[in-house]
Amino acid sequence: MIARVFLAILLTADALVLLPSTPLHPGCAWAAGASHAALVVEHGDGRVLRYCVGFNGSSVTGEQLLQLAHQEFGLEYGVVHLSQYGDGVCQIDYEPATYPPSCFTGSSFWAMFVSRGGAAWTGSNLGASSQTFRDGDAEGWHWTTCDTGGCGPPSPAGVCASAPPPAAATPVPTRVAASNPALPAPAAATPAPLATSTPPLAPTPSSSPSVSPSASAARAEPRPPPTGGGASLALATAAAGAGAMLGLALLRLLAPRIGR
Amino acid sequence: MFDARALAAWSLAGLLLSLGTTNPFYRGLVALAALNVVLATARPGSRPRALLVPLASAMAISVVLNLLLSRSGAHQLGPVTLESAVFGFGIALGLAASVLAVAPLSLALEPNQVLEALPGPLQRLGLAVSASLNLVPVIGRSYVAIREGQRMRGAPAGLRGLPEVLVPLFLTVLEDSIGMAEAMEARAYGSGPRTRFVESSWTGLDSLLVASAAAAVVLFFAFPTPDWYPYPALSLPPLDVRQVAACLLLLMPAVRWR
Repeated sequence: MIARVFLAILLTADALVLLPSTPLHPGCAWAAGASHAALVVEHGDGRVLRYCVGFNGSSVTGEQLLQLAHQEFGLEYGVVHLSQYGDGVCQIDYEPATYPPSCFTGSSFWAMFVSRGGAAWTGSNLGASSQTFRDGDAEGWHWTTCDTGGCGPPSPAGVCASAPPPAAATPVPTRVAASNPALPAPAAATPAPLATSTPPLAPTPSSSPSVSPSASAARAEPRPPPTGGGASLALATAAAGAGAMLGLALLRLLAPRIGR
Repeated sequence: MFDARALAAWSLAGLLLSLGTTNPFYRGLVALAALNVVLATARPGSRPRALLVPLASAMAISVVLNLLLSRSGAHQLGPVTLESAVFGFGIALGLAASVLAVAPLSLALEPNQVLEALPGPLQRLGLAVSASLNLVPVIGRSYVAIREGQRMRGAPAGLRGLPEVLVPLFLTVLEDSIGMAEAMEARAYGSGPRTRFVESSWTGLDSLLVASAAAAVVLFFAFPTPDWYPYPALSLPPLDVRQVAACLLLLMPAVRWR
């Protein structure tokens, strides 16, 4: 019986380890629209994503800009409603991989920066759901431990300077975000890589299924952590150890004389 | 029988591992190792099962409360989410691991052994706390007896009759305390160095236990994996074989030979 339980645990665990991971999305892209705002995201390891997000209307909030980037380019992000401060951005592009309901996981966090009309970054004194952006502005995010202007991501200069890409450009499959009546209609999305000074990530089309966000607006797809031989070995060891200890405990509980 | 200080070091290691991670795999391994240690080292007359039943109830309450209070998570299961169930289970495992890690201190050791394991300056404080705690069940029994007696004499029930119960209860407790103090004094408490019937001796097995507990802590925290949360969407917790080995090291007291 114990051997069967152990085998079942082991097989389940190995099946989970072999789950495929979600591919990345393009690191730099441009979208058509009446107005444009740059979105620059710098990860903790220095990777930079640049998007020129198109929108219709005079202005959008920072969160709406993220949602438009999600719709136009497949940029993943997760927010949690913090009662006092509006929505807090907890995750962008799967960093951190997971987060608690309270949003914050440690000393690092997604710090928000604002650039008005090509000026330098300044730390945002408003949350993503309150800060507004107009044509020519830029929204910056950096996974860091500080939120002053000097900690901002790389300059947004040039992100929205290029001409629109040709209409024949191959569209990247995008994901469905939560329907939000307050969100301005997204511009016709025709994403394509944009040449910038910083080498972007290798463009890899996103092919994950659609997301149906919950009320708390968690928009991220399940993405298992990187696993390899080491993880499988650890999982096998853990499963074997857990099975043995469980069996030993049951023996001691059910037949104390045998256990002693 | 292990020395109380060695077992306390093991308990500390178990607590550090269970509270130092959010990973349910590690917490589960620590809980299973501690459960085996509890069952293997429980002294005759102690009842480990009496601990397991309320612990299982507390774990169930933890899962249910998290299910009811948390609405986050991508995988909806009707009004609740899979993520909240998994997070609640992780909390329950942490609770079980923590309780089981310190359980041998009461189930495997006699109270006097725990007192002796305390550092010198804390021994008197420990004795005072222990004596006070021993009075708690006495107070309970006295309360019931006095209340019954007063009712039979026609005292009103409920809050109105409370003064008729509390005053004699206070006097009874005071009398019990004085009696205990006199008994301790009659046994020469405080007249010199403390003597004991059985001297505890530190053996090589105790050293091995402390070494394995220290190795478990070092191994676990030297190769950290990122904290894990099931939100916003459930994912497999990261695992490191060295941390798994650290958790398994805690099983050492359960595999000792008699």
